[in-house]
Amino acid sequence: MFKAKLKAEVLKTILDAVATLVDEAKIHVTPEGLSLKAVDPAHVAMVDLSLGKKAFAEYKATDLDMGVDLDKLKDILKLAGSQDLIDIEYKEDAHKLVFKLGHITRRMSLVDTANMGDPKVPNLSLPNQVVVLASELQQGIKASEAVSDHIALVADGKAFELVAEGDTDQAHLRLEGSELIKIQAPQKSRSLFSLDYFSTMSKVVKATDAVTLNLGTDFPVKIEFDIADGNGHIIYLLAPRIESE
Amino acid sequence: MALPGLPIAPAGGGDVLDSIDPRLCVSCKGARMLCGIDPCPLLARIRHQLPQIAKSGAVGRDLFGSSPPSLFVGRHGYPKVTVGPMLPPDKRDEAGARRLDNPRDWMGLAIPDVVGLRSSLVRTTHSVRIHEPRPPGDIFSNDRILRASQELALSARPVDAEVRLERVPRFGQVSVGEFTPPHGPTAALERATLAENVRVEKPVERAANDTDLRAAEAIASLYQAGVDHYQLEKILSAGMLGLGAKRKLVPTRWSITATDDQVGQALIPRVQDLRSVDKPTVQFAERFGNRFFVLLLPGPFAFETVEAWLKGNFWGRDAAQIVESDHEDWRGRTTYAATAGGYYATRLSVLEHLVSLQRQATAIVHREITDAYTTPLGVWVVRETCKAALASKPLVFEDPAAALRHMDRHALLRSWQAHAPLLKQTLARRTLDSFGAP
Repeated sequence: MFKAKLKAEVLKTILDAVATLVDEAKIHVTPEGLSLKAVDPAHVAMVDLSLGKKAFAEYKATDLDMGVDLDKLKDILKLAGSQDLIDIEYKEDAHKLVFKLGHITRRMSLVDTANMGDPKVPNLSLPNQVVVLASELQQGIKASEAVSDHIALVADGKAFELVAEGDTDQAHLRLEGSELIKIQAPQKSRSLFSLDYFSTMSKVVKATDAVTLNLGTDFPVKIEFDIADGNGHIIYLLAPRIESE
Repeated sequence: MALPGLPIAPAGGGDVLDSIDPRLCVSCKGARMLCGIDPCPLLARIRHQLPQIAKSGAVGRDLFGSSPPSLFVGRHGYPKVTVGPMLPPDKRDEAGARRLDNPRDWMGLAIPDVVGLRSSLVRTTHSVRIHEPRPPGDIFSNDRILRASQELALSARPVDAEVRLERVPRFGQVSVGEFTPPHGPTAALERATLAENVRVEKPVERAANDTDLRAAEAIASLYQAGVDHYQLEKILSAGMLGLGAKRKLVPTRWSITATDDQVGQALIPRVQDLRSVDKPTVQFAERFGNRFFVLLLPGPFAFETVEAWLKGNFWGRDAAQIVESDHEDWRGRTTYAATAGGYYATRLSVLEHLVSLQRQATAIVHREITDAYTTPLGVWVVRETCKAALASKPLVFEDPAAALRHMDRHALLRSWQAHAPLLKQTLARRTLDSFGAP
């Protein structure tokens, strides 16, 4: 059983967070909330998302898995304004999700979850941690996009840097001390990432929220932040690129 | 540059070409009027230089001939276009008639032979609007010439046709272009009728009659049912697919690429469910001055094509190489490729190969067009040459670097990798798996 009511913007955040990596996702439903893990086809990025029942206006559920076609979900969300409440109910016999938005009822067939695996989250030990305001990070990305298709994330002592090196131009974001919410970087770390992936991930966070980056050298970055007013949480893992000589 | 004994380009033709940047010509390929001159001065010039073959004997305004079957929908004046059957001025046996419009049969020929073969095909024209009305309940138009063309498009085998032209066709005139195969003289129709009943394959009949089936889905299902690729292009072109109210004629040139794109899009999700190839492979073929290297790398389906127009090719002329490239990753692409129809034809050949292997791969195709490419022959050259490469015995390598070293040794353009951003990304990529995930 799954019956819930929530604001369209919460559902949209989830969709934005996941649809950049996969076309279909398996949502794991429990009495306490939803969770979802997905890896993109290139195995470069992973999302691990959870949304507690407090994020919903109403929530009633038992344990079950739902396979969702994210393109269809996107179409349904286009019918709603961000503050609109959406009713969602799982019809087990028809294997459908029924959405009610205002006077519209929209039934959506679910995808068979039999062939959808559960990705295992790799156990990484990342020495450095930086907590930064999302808007600062988003500015750095904006500056980098004009310059290169990849960026280096560097943490060292009291400073965090985002560096984009193009063939002719460079962009550089440097934050230190009180410009960061928190930094713990006992050893210098540096890894290179695809800007394309990093950018889409960082757009999911609200500009005024904090983002936690866990970093190592030539190691994946772990990006963590809250969604839905702290009632949900997203963890992204992004594999590094090989530094070209 | 004219061949001895042949008419030379009209006065001033050379001067016009001197003032046009070859890079424009390479992106335009005679299709987009980027120089502002219509018809394309390069194509106009070559028309006068092509060997005068297939000068037919006494032919009047009345023709009786075996259509391969084939029709041509011109794009000039869109949405008012010309449509009409294509046919030779004589009756041929089934194999002979088919050969006129079956690019697979042309792979062993030299360029002049292809031009010669096609020069006997008369392109007949009749002006109609793309939405020419059809009687209620009928999938064919009530315009008789259009109707005959539509029936031809559905036919599974050659059909004898009878036409009356407004003037006597001038054999020896050949039209060539980058997208559609060459054809002989063009003549306006007074009348066209089919001299026999057409035989339509069941799936084709069903799709043509289903006016609730969208064109994209119809193309995918006909492809699935084994309908020949080159027939699919014609069925779409004749406006015989899609939702009833939306059916329209599609100019032949656009229909070719639309078919490549739609079939490709239908295959991509199937390929994405397959296991990856195990090791990098390189395959190669060369036809009509087109050299195709196909590199398959282990990984998710992604596709990139690099086109290097080397010095002396038809479009780039004496310019040093002009290189273009396009790519898409697993998310697909939403904009039209700069490498145009060739991109979609190459992608489809690669996808068909992956389906037959039951594997997915990241495919990098490097195409070199040399000075042996003296005459544009149509997109089929790209499709069939890429297929020929994929049919060759693959060289298997232990790692991508070794495969690339091999390609670099054999490529005429040493620096081709600099034009392949997807390749660069793929080589620089590490996966989460290498950090302990399954």
